[in-house]
Amino acid sequence: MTPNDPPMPDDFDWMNDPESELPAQDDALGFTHELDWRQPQPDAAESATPPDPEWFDLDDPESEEIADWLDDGLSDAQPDWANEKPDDAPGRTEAESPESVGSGLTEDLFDGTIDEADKTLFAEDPEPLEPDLPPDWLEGFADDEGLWSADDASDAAAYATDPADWDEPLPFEASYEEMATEFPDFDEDLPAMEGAAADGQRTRDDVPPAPEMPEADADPLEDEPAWLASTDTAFLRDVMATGPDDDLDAPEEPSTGELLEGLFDDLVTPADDDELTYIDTSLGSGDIEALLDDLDTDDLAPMQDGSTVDPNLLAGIDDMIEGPGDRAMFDADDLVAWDLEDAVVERPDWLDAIDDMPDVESDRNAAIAALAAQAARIDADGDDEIPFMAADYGALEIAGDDDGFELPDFPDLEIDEDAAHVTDAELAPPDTGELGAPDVEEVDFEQWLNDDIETFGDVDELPEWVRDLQAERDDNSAAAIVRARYEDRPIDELDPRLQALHERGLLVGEAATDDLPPFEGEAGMAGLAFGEVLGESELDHEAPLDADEEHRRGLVAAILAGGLAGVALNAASPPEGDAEAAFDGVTDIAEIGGGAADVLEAPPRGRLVPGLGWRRPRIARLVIALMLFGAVLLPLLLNLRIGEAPPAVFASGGPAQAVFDAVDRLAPGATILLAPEYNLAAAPEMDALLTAVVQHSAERGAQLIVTGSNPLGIQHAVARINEIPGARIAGIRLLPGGAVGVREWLTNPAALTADMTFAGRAPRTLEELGAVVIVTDGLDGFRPWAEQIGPAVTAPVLVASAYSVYPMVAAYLDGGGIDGALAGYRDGMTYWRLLGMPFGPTATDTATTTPTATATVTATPTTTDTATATETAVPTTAVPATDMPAPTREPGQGTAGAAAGDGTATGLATRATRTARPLPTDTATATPTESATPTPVPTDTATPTTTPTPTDTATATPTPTATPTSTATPTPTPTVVLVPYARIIAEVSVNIRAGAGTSFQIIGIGAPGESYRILDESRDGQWFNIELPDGGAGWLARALVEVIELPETTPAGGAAYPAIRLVAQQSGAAEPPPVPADSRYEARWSAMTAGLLAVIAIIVAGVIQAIIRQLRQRRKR
Amino acid sequence: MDAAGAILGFTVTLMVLSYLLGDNALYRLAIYIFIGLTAAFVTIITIETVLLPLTTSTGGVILLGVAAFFGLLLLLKPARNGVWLTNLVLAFLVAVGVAVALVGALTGALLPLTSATIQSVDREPLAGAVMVTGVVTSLIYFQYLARRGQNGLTGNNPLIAVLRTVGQGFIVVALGTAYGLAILSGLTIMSGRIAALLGGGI
Repeated sequence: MTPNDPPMPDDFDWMNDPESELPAQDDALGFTHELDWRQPQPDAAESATPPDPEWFDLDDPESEEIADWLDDGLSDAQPDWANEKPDDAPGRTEAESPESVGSGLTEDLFDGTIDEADKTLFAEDPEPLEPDLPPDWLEGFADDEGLWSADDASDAAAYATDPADWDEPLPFEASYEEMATEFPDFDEDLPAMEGAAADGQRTRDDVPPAPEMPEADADPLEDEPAWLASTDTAFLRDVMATGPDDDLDAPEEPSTGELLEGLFDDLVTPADDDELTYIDTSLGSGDIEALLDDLDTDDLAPMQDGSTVDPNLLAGIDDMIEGPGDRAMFDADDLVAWDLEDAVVERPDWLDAIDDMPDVESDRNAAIAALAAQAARIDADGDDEIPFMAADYGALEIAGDDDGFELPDFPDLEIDEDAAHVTDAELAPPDTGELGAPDVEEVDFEQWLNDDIETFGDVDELPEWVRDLQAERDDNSAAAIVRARYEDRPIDELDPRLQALHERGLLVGEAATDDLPPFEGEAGMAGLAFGEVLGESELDHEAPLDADEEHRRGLVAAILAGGLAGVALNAASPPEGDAEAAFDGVTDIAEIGGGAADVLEAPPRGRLVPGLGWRRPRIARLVIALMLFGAVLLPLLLNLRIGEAPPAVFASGGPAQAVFDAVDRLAPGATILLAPEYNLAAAPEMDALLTAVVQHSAERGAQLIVTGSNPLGIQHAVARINEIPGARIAGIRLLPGGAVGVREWLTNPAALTADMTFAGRAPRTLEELGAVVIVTDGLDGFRPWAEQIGPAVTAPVLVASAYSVYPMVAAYLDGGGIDGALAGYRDGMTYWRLLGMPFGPTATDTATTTPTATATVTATPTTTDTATATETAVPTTAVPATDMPAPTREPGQGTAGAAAGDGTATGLATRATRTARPLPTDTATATPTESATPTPVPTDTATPTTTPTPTDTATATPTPTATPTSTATPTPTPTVVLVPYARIIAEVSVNIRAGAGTSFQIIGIGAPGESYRILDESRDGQWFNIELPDGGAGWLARALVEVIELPETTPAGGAAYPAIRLVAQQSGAAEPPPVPADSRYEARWSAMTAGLLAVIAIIVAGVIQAIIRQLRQRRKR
Repeated sequence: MDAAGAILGFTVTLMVLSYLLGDNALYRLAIYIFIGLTAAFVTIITIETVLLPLTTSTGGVILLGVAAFFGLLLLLKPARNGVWLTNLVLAFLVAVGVAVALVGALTGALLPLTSATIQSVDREPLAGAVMVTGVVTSLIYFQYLARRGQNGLTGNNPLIAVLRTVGQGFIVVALGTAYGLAILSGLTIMSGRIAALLGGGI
């Protein structure tokens, strides 16, 4: 009833007028003119008796239908409840107002559908019920305003739903007996609630069968979903039962399948075809859940499309839930408050996050929080843009993280009957009503904001915050932010590349303006957009169509020409070159200057390769490659010598010399941690360094632990090391995990060396290492060692790096974690020369290796390295005299080393002893001999203390004061023998005792892997007498050790000296052969030099060409 | 055997170098072979040197079990409902790696380098001054703050602009040096490879 409806006459006795039932019946049932089965029969119009009251409009189709219906004889079966007055009818009391009529009878007549039982009630009700509606006991639950509360309605619905529970205490805290006592009519009213008697005398099944109804095109009852006929529809029935019974102003288009669909969209979102995963708890209740439990989603489809079930059967539902105006039975708060205790859902974590938000003060914040949670979910699927957008709205606060998108975890919502109950505050965003708990599983966030507004109905029904997000989204995207930053920025402040692009775009436009048709239509829009990119960043975005017409034509021309040319070029290019080719197409237009036509008419470049399209030969690339190949090949093939060979010594005090000195100071038996962190591709460069360092360490009697995080590097290095005579590998250890693996050396070095075989005591800590050597071709392989191991060890950390890494490696020098560094092949070759390894003497060497009695040096002006070395030729490393066999020199022999500029005593001393690479042999039982015999080698055999006097002139003739420190004093040289060692093979530490038996005192502990020299064994052979590191002796059980043979490293004379070198000296090399000249390395060095020159030439040529090109372009402009 | 290896190496080298003519089947075949062999080799090495040694002790077996469990969690990546478990493992790995790298970068690189930069002035005043100037101006170059005037235009302080230019010069020199050395590495490798094909040594 609307205010505009005519008032009822005062004398109208609607209570006794059969026609007066129509309004109540129509409203309660939600009947409309669209109900097929209620369509008037052909003769209905004639037999109808229109009701007299003014409010019953004969012209109203609904009234006509009602009249027709009544003429069919149903009026005789009208129940007394139908005598209820309209709200504005005379005599209507407040208690009978429609709002207060939560009639169980009404509910009984309409339980969501019109079924046979309902029709039977109209047709023949043997015992019409008393018209005292609503029952007083139900009325008691109405509030002061006569309105039912949501809880009451729910309770009543639950009560009426399941008669089986009548024996149980009623849901509204009153037992059946109490109710019956309190309300005399209670028993009588109960049957009306469900159509069944409380005493069991009458049930739904007792209702007589319905009479045959008028035929319709299709009997909708046959298509009624099973769930609608079930008792679980109590919620819907209850909703309708509490509706206004005088509603004659039902919408002209009463509830349809669409609205029902909207209702169910709110109620349930099926995760798949047959599973319900989520209940929108803003509408939820235990009744809804009960309904949904029996709900077959297959029924939803016909409901939604209305193809098989007349949606009008469900008329009235929407009126109850979201009816227009004041007819809405519930507002959002009611729905939320409705029996939330029965809402069974699994509380999502994001609710906690929302609760924890410090500034949840508005609907918007709460909604944003929910959006952020959804964004996080979407981001898990790989969409990065959504979180960014959500973050722009401040949703990051949800996780308390300003720097990232660490949004709360968002588990799937599932129905879980055991889950804890939740409260309305937890489930509903404050006052938003429409939002509810978002369905994170199914709702597409982006689509939600864009097009999928059906969830909310019309656009106007969208929550305000959603409309705000839609409006603001474009201004908050990443692209929009970037655009905004550059939008109003003067061109001259742009990056030079952007400026160049801008100029290029203008040029393109000018070149093609005259060749293309006028600007029109969509092409013009595209041209404008293109112009924004290429040339017109200052275009007014508010009025793009007002741009200069001529300019737009030019831009369109550029687009068409560039685009088509790009397409053509793309076809001739591999797919990955699309963007480049397209840009080339544009720039080519600019260079041609003749407009787009020439480009369009030009045939595709390159040749058509079957299956690959048009391919363009990369002429420039091939030319460059051939130049490089030629430059590198010629020295190798023709034995050309280009450039100057690497210097014979390192710069004194430099990082390379530091490496050499550190290795040269190693004590015999010292352990080196060698990390070959390079790949096979870099082997041609890195092997030179690896070989040099390992060779040197082997000559010092050191042993190697080959370790690292690169298995290929380790394997390759081991192969190389095995080729180096004298090199000994104590163990190999791969460190998986990169930096984390390297750190294992800090945390548990003993475990890493447990299964290794050491000559002597195994290093238990990093402090016991002799050196750490890293051979690397990349920063990633180098940093973990320098940054983690470097600061933790006292041993020198030495790095041999590729050229490309050296700048970064050098940064770690001088307290940065490393103590010395070698760079590239050049330092490798110098290192070889210092070791006396085969590398051809340079011209300088040749000139100075001629022995002269005066040791006169002719410093070649061009040998700057030599000059430098000479200037700083101060011995920086004092090698103990006992470590070095005193080099001897025949009187009169030249000081070749000094002549060559080997300014360091270390270098000279080293060279003096490396006349041949020693070859270890098991039969090497050298005996001490005296090296009294001079070694008249024309090369380095002297250790002069050079004090050159460098001059700045090229003709300087330094006069070294060669003061040989060597004497002819025979130096007792130790022997090298293989002696037995007892290596501990037990997995745990073992006891070293004072005697051959467990009854003796424990005097030490031996770790697994450690080796001790065997001095003797017990009589029974079960114990070994071993030599302890402190020189003492102890006993080890034989069962705990294995016997191995290791070279004796302690010289007989007591001086420590690399045994391997002694082997060489004792093996008859009384006169070591001169270092052979190996032209291969010189040739390779020349090849590198030639290649470098070629590269320089290529770069210079490229720069010149670019300059010429720029000049030509400027001239054109 | 050596001859066969040399021939194979020569052939594969040519296949790789064929990329100069563009992407082609020979180049891809060589790359696929190399990658496949590398992956297989790394797998073998890992099994032999990492996994198998763990089985010799109880602690190792436990560690292996934990690692295997984490590995299984990584396999849940394709599962939509199990991806969070995968992320958990990855988060652990990333966090540990970052923590280690961070500590190393601070204690091994940043602080020592800062100290070295400062100390360089004392050791070699001229070179130290150049170094400090380069560091400071390079850092200034990488700041993009600017004040927007009333006319809507942005502009830098003239002094800052000058310093940025100087810093840009240092950066150019540094990058040029690195680029040149990278070329030198490439040439070294190239010459070594060609020399090896021609029968030369390292």
